[in-house]
Parts: sequence; structure tokens; C-alpha cells
Amino acid sequence: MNKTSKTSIFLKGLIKENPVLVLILGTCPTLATTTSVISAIAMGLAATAVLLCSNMVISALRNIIPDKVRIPCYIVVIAGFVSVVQMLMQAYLPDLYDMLGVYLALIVVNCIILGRAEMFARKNTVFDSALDGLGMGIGFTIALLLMATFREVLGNGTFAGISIPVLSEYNVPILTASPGGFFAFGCIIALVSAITNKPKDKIGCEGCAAAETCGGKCPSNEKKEDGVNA
Amino acid sequence: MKSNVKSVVVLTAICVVVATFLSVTNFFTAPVIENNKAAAAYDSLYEVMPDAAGFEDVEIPADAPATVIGLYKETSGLGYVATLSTTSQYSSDNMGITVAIGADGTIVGVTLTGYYESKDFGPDYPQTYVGADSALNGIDTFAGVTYSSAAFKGAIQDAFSVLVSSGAVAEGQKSEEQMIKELIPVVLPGCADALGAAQITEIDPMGYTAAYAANNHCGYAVVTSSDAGTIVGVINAFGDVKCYDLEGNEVDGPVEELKSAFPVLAEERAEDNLKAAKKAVGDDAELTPIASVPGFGAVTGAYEAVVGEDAYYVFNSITFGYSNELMESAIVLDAEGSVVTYKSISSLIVHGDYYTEHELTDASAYVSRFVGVNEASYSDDTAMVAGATCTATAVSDSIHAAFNAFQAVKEAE
Repeated sequence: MNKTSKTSIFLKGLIKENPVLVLILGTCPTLATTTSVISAIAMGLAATAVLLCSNMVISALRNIIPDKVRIPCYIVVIAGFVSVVQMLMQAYLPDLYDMLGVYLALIVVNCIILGRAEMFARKNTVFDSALDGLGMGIGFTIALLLMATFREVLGNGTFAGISIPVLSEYNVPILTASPGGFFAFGCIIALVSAITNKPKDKIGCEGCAAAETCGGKCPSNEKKEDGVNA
Repeated sequence: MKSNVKSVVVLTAICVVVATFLSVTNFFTAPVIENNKAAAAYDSLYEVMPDAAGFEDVEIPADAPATVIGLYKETSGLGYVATLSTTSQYSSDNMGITVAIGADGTIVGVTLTGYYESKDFGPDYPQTYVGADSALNGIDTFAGVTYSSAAFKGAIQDAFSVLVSSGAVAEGQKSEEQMIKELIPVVLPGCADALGAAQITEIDPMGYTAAYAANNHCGYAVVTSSDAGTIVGVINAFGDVKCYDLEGNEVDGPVEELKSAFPVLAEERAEDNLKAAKKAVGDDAELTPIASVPGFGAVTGAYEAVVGEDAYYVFNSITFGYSNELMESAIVLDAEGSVVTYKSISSLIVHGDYYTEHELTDASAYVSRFVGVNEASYSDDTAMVAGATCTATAVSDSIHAAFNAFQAVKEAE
């Protein structure tokens, strides 16, 4: 793989294959932790750390892990890293740990992490997987930051807890509640879709933002070809 | 076969490596986390008692409730601070509380140091405790967050119990109203909900000081005065009466007057009770009402039933389910006291989306659990269904009520 393609591996997670805004993965933590900018950044960085480490380990073990137990193996690795991040945050960043609450532990079941392990790390080198994890993690963090900025500024009249004149008195509190989360999510997805000119007339593999990565060999297609899911 | 062995070996090896990695991380982070917790707890001491000069640890008595995890004395004599940890029936998540109790025995500050449930009672509820003494007069649970607020209140009471029993602070005087409120669910246990609070409604006192009817029709509580002071008379669904002083001691009282003043609930509900009993034992049964069932449980009606040559007992009961919704049931026991049929007259399916796919939607499979059990072999686990605790507790309460009533009827015979 040449230098340009390595750059593209890293960059694709930022916008083109942004896990939240294009692949629509990790919706639960996105909606739950974007009521404030600080918690969004904390969640984004925690997930990035787990994504980077789990991608590297899973890639390193890709030739050792038997296919039939790959998902349990991935989950054990991911859960291990999440627990480590939890312990480190509880020890050294207790305020952020309290702020994220149960959503920190729920990174284990974040679709982005298992999704990248399954779609990318198990088929690529450690370095490429690290780039992919980092890119996707930063893309996830950017998406959370966008959402949180939209919701906190307009919904609460503050940014990272700092009061904004006028908006602090004239805001839309529903944006910090669940319906406002869905509304902000929809608006930002629409905006990103418009910017990236994602083809709207294609469905199936051709229309999938991740098609370039998996080359039409995503797990669901593989199962069908094997007759398992036919 | 070979691939299976490889799968097992690889998965096991990964688990071992991850576990080792976690152990090492825990080795380094655990002491820091403990220090953080201790520091946070110490910070909260000043939060609830800002004028404190300093704190010194006080040894927690061995018999203290487990909820009391730290006890500190303010060095200049302002009072004491207790750190508490409790859980509610609603959630197993730990609730951390720090409460400051002044030298005069009243709460001077209280704060919630940890509770991450989505549904809590907000910051205002704990502040309602400020100024209260150990009697906690006028402080109730928080509507809509009953379990969490009951756990909160219980923990505060635990803190007081430790300080009062050690003589550190004086015991608060309960108001008469508070004593009556606490006494009623003890002497008329059938009207108590899952948290032990009396579910009663004030009714026409018929010339007495006050009168209450149990919401589940299991009896009445009547407050009256005598030469010895205020007494509380309780009347069960069959018209049996007992009188108690405010300390909970049984005393002589106007038993016959009370009997005649209030209608016998089992007779008032005779039609409903009979219908329910027939649903449980069958239309062919010959049912004879039992005129008196000693005891003050949740039983609202009782019958002797004869089906062919077999004799049974049928007990109607009404207990408190989800959101204290009334759950009516009829329980058929054989002559030895074993359950023959548990018949829920109310729907066992609890309203709300959360329960739509629940095990309790298959009521017939659920109630079959109780067939054949008797008082000795029954435990609350028999009725328990995770995720439907309130409903299962109500079912269990009704079965306990039936066993107690059966025992009382047998002893009376």
C-alpha cells in the first residue's frame, strides 16, 4: 500500500466514512453523551483509545484467531481495553468518569469498535489498522463534538459550561433532551450528506459508504455466498 | 476436532492475557481510586458542614447498619458527619450520601455524592431533610421516585440510629401524627405496601379522633383517646378488633364499640369475594363463608369449600402491585395447607411498555409455580420474576397472607 492510500485510510473516517454521520454507527452514545461538549469530547477520546488499541491487537492476531470464535475473541479484547480505560479514567480523571457514567462501560457494545474490527482490522496490517482506528476515532469525536456544540449552545446557552450571552437566556431546552438529540442528529447527517454528495440513487453494496473498504465482501454478503444465510 | 481445540485454546489464551493485563492495571489504579473516593468523601464533609474546623474519624459500632460507611466528629464540637451508601429496590446502583448532624441533633446539611440512575429525585429532595431531627417528622418519600427516596430516607435513619444509640446526639421527639403513621402498618400489616408504608384513606371518623380505611379493603385503623392516652384500634376484614398504644403495646380499648361502628368488610365484599373464590375453586364447589379469621393481614374474605368429597379453604386477598395498583387474588389451599390453585383475579400483566414481552404475560405458566407448595416449602424466590419485582412481591404477599390466614383458622378451630 503506498503513502497516499495510507493517508486515505486515516482520512476516510473523518468525513467520507464517518462512523456516526455516514455509517450511522454508535448512535446510542452519540445521543446520550452529546448534551455537553465536555462529555462528548471525553466519550470520543475514550472510544478512540479503545478503537485504536483493539484494532491493533485484533490485526496482530488476525492470523491466529480462528474464524468461528473471532467475535468472542474481539469482544474479550475490546472489553479488556474498555475496562482499562475505565480504571484509568476512574483513577486519574474521576470527574469525567462520573460525567460519562454507564456510557463509558457501554463502549464495549459500541458498534463502531466491533464493526471496524470485523470490517478492517481482521483483513489489514497492524499499521493500517492503527490508522483506521485513529481516523475513525477522531471522526467519531468530531461527530460528537458537532452534535454537542449544536445541542449545548442552542439548547442550554453554554459552550463547555461557559455561558454565552443572549443564548443563555433565549435557548431551546428540548435540544438537550432526547427528541432534540434526534433532531440535531438528523440535521447534521443531512448536512454531511449534502457536503459529501453521497449518491442517493444506489442501494445495497454500491450505495454503502464502506463498500470501498470491504469490496463487496462485507460479513452479511459472505454468509449469503456460503449459503449460511441464504 | 482439531479446529475446535484450536478455537478453545486461542480464546482461552486471549482471556488469560486480557485478565492478566486487567490485573496489572488494577494493581496500579486501585489504590489511586480508593484515595480518590476517600478524598471525595472528605470533600463532601465540608460541603455539608462548611464551617467545620476539621474532622476526626469515629469508630463505627460493630452492630451499626451496613449503610453507615464513615463517621466523623467535627473537632470544634459542631456535630457529626456520616457518609452512607445504600441501594434501592429500583436499582442496584450505589447511592452515596453525606449527612451532617449538628450537636443539637438536627440535620445541618446533606448531599448526594453518587447516584447515576436516570430516574432520581433531583437536588431539592435531600434539602427537605435539613433541620429535621431523628424523628424525621413530616418527611416523606418522593412521589414518582418512591424506591430511591425510601432508600435515601432509610439511610438517613440509619445514620441517626448510630449517633443516637451511642449517645452522640439526642433522640428527636416524634409527633403523635408521625407515631400513628408508623404504627398503622405495623399493627395492620395487610395495608402496608412493598416499602412498609400504610396505603390508607381517611374516612368519616364516626365520632372518634380519626379513622382510616385500608385501600385494599383489609380493614380499618381508628385513632381514639382514652385515660391512658391516644390509642389506635385496628379492625380486620372480618370485624376482629385489637387496640394499641402509640408504643405498639396491645391495650384494652373500646373493642365492642369499634366492632359495631364500622361495617364488616368481608360481608360488604361478599359478592365479589364469592365470585373470585368460584373462579379459583370452580363453580361446582360448595362454598361456606368463614365468619372470622384472626390476624390483620391482606386477606379480605375466606371460605370453606367442598368439591365432591374433598375439602379446601379459599382465601381472597388484595395486595399492592406496580405503582401500588391493587392486585386481587384467590388462593385455594387443601386441608393440609398446600396451595392447590393460585388464581389472579386482577391481570398479572403490568401496564407499561417495559413489561410487554415479560414472562408474566404467560400467567398460567407463572401461577403453576405455586401448586403444591406449603408454608414450610414456600419462599419469596418462588414468586420472584426479575424485572417485575413489584408484581411478584404482590403475588408473594398474597400467598403469605393465605398461609397466615390458614394457620389462624386452624388454630381457632
